[in-house]
Amino acid sequence: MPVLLQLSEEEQQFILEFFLSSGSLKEMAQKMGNSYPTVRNKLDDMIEKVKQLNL
Amino acid sequence: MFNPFEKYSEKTLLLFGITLTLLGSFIGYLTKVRFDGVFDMHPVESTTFLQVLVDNLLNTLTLVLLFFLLGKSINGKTRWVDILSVAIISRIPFYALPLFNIGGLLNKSTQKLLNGIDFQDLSQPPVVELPDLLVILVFAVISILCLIWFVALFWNGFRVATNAKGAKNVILFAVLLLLAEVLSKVLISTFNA
Repeated sequence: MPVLLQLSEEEQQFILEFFLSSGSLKEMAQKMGNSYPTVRNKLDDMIEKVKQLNL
Repeated sequence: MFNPFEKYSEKTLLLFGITLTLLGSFIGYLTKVRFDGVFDMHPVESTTFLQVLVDNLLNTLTLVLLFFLLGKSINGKTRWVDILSVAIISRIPFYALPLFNIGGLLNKSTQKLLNGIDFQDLSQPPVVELPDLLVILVFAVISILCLIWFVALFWNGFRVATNAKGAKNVILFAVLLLLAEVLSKVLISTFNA
């Protein structure tokens, strides 16, 4: 199964938001009502997860 | 209440934190207390607003210096501004403690309690007045609660700022917090005595 489909619906939505924000974490943080480091951590955790799925 | 760092931006946190640090320093000056360590507060005979403010600046700078270095070693993306927000916000609970020394209440109760102890003959029972004992006991309980609140805020904030995980980082955090207490006391006694 493709890696993207192995992610949860919430994680897929996060990636879509990231794409629509042109990769701006600051803009995403504002939209989501979270702080910048919270959004950055979420992205870092997802990158780790995708790396594990790709192994 | 325990983790505002997940939601609020660094600008909001800094604005709120700086305002309360100034207010806390002013209350400290009015009630004659010093914040002579990252988690210390003691009544004194006299002080100035600048002296109390410099105490709080040195305490905050000590926390920022040590925990930014730890943060960078855990996660290279750690920003100093996030550690600064965490240090400033986490110390806010301590600014309520000077209220116990309005009119020198805490200082007087402590002195009366100490005067009631015969240090030459410790076999003699101490002469203790209940109101003084109550003031000190309530202060001790509130101090411990403020310390717990400080540690909870600081750990939650540090975790958000650095994405720190695992027992190793918890231990490093605890050791560094104790080191920060020692370093801040040295800095304050050297540069702001």
